[in-house]
Amino acid sequence: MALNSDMMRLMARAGFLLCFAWMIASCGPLVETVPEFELEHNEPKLVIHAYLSPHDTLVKVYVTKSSPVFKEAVPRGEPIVVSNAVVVLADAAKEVVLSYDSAHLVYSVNADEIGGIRPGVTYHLRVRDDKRSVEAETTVPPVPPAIASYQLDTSYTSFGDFSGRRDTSLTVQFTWKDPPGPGNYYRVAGKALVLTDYREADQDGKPVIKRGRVTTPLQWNDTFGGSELQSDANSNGGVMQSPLGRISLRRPVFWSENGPESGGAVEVRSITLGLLHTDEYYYRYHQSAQAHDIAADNPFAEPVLLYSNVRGGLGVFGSYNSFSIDVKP
Amino acid sequence: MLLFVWQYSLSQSVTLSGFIKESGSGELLPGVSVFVPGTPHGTASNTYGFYSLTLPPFEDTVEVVFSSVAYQSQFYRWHGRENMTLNIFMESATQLEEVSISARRQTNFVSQTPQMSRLEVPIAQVKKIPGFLGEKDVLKVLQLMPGVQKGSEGQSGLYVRGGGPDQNLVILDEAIVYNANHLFGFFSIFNGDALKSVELTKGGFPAQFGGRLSSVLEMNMREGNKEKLKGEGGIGLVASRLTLEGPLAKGKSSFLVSGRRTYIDILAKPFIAQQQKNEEVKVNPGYYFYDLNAKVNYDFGDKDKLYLSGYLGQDRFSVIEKGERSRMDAGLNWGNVTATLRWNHLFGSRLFANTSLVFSNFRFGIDNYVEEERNGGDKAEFKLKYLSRIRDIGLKTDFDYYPHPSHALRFGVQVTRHQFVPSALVLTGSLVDVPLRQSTTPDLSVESGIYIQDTWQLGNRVKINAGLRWSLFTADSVSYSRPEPRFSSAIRLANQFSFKASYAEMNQYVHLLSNTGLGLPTDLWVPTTARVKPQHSRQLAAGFAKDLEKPGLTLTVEGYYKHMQDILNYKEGASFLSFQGEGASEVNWENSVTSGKGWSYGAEFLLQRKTGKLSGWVGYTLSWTYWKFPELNKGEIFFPRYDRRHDLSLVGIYELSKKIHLSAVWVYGTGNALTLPIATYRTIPHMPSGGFSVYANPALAPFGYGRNVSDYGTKNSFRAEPYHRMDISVQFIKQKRRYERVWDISFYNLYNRKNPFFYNIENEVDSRTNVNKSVLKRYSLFPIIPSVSYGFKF
Repeated sequence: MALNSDMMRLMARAGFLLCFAWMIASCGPLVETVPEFELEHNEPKLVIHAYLSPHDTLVKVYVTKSSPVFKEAVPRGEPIVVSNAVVVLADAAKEVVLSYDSAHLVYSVNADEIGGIRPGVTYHLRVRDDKRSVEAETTVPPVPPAIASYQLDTSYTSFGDFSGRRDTSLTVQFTWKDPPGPGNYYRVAGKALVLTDYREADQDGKPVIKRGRVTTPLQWNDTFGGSELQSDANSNGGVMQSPLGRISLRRPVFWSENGPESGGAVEVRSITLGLLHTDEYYYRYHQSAQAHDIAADNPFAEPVLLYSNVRGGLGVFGSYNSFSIDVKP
Repeated sequence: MLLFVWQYSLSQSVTLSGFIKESGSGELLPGVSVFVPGTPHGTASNTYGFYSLTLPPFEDTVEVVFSSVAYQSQFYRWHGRENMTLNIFMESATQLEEVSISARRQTNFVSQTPQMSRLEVPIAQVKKIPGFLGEKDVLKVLQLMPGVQKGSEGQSGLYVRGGGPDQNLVILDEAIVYNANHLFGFFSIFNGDALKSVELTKGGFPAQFGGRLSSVLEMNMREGNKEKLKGEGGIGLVASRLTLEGPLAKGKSSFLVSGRRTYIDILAKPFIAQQQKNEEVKVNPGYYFYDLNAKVNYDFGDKDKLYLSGYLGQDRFSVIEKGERSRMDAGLNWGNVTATLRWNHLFGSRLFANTSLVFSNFRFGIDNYVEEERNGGDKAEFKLKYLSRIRDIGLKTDFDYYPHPSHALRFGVQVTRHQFVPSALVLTGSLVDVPLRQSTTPDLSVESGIYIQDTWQLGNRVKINAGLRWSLFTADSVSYSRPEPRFSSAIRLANQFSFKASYAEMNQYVHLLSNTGLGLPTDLWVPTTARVKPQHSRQLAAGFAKDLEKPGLTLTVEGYYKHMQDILNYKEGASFLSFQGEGASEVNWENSVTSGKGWSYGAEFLLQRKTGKLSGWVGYTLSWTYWKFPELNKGEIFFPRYDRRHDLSLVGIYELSKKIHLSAVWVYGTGNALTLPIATYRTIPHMPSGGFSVYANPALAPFGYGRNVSDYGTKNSFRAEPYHRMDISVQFIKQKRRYERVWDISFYNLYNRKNPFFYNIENEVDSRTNVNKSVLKRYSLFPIIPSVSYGFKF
């Protein structure tokens, strides 16, 4: 990402010089609002987000809606939750209606009511509100292959903290064997339980520094080459490898009246490595969302059309199956 | 057939052959028509000015006419008892009165050649058409022709019949030019002063060309005056140029050197310094480009000629930013180098051979160095070096063989070795989290082609050109071999009125990855690999050509259908630096690309007058272009950005007097197809390992790390407003005692049309309702721009 922002700085300078050339040439406003521009048939759409998994006891479906440009006031950076929808989940034999949970802003049902979420089964989702309706399907993937090998390592961060101390970070990478046949999609996951210093307000509201256990997700280095999301399109039946996962062991820094104060060393107690076997929709949606994020920072990239398998709407109805192991550092 | 032709050539017929040169300079003239009026017998001089006209035995004498645009026709009465060598000197028509030119046949008729879809703009005309900031640009003039479109405002890239700028085979003296852009595409690298001819072929490609899908842009440099020292130069707002040419050994050898450099960096420096007088951080940007063309030749007599020519051009953009405790140097630089060594040899009067050794190199680099002083006295550094390069070395031999009055054969072979470094990045320094050192070892590949074609006069009315090219590409572990049939024909329906039809298949083994739509040097050249297949196209074209002798007008109407297979594009969201990979341990551009197909069809209309008091053309194109990529736009068909329904150009040059020339251009084009958001929404991604929520509202905690994203509807479903613009120019020419000078005053975008460069959706508070609403903003690039330039010639 650093690279993109540097490029952007560079291009901005290029722009500066070009602008300067134009300034010599002439003046006048070169930006204008296009008047009375309206897009036809541009109504809000239902946006669905649901990820089924055999491990879930509660099936959750998030229903929000999109906000058309030019028509409505700009939304406040929060999802627009639709609370009056009818959400129906069905397999070949049975269908259940999910009820709206106003505390968690989600439609949910106990997985048992549809006989649990089972691998290999295709589930249908139908959602409608007073104006529109959408539909989608997903087939739950089988249990993923086991993690075949993993490697832990430590590496130095390349520059120092405020006091010039160079801290380390813990890195982890693992492999698995892709089963024969195409159409397997994966996502790697991982989290670490670490013992670290953190700041908390005491009874009087004064900040105190405490030491305790915190769970933190692994940071996957996917800038070059690697990705959390992988398909077997290029390594069908072969050994697949996760990108490098990283847990920073940098000491926390606390600011007080005396300036910055460094906390104690970070100790990793355990690491959980996970592998998700996802359906194609889950994979394509998350991959396009990731590409969208990258493209948003990049002036050169073409806009990313976010993937959706929701007919008549936006978002994703996907599923996954997972496998995880605990590793002691 | 060949055997028959061979036997014929030995037994009967007589041949008139030789070189055609410009009188006064000795410059060899390509494309001069040589024909016997009232008969179907005719030929044209080749790129090296050589012609060979074979006739069946005849009694008495025949009149042979040599004719070319802008030259006075020559007539020769030939007895034809035996083969004969005749070198012809053509007198420039500009030195003659208007009346005497039009009184005689003076053009080579478009209706007589089977070649179609070919555009020619005389360089003399290019120099009279208004140029952006006073810079006359060959490529921008070609954009005014039907079937050829510009991309964005001010850009010199060519989009030919629905193809992209990378699908044009741009050759300068036989060498492929990979990046024809200066200053991020606002100027092309071709300096009109050094060029002899410019020809663009859009379809019905002759078999000697291959390697690109959409067009062949062939440019030849002048050889230089063989008689006396001549010079030409100019001073403009952006750049200055100077050309010198003259004999090295009189009549035998000559040279030409032509250079150009910008000076906007020098002009801007004091203004920039003034602006930043009180700033803590001083930013010092600089930009320049230069180019240099050079050519020498030696004439060993009628049999052998040797040419050495080269091009060298470089753009450099740099920024130095100096703060109290930090410093940043950054630069972009790119440039082409080409060199061609050619040897012409004549085997008798009917067989001409040219052998070329060709070198071409394009390089693009980014360098960035950041130094920051930290609290502990530590120096933190960031070093980035990026390189993208393509380097070719090639050998080719072409033969022109005129065995028979009805046949002209051309055959040859070509081998090119490509060295690609598509993208190599080196990141070092203590500020870099993950140091990176990508290999700069090039990928090697060999592209070759072998071809033969025959131009065949079938009776009085039909002329066909049938050929076959076989192209081969080998790299690492793959090899592709593909036949490329070529066919074009002309059927004379009436006097100077013919119907033409053509079919051509093309393969493209090198690809350009681009997603800016601008001519940025950041576009990467990549080879065909096992995963990335060659691009392939099939094009069918048909139309009518009519020459109207009296006013010297040419009218062509053509329709075409082109199908393109395995065309390449970046995946959505990918760009030249943000490669997305899957499990690959190193960056691989192949992961960022996706292939699909495209098709384009349309109709083109051109009414052109190349010489005279009033010259110019009217060009109109009606066209449709579609793309379908499994991985783009959810697999559905969409219009590429430069799909353009209507494209109209009016170009007029009027010579008011010998001292004053006026010219005007008006263009109109349908807006580009763009992708704009139609709505926004927030994602709710799955977070298998937990994590943070972006929302302050605790009720939204389960919505996690959601982002605001755009719903774009379908790709490129938004149409920009139409583009139109008028440019005018007036030239004041004065003949001084020792030289001629020209003042050129021109206005770009005369009526100040605010043409869209890009659109952006921005939020604005409505002053009446106080509601924050999104509005569409149009960004324009160039308002009315006056310019003045001074030129001289001696």
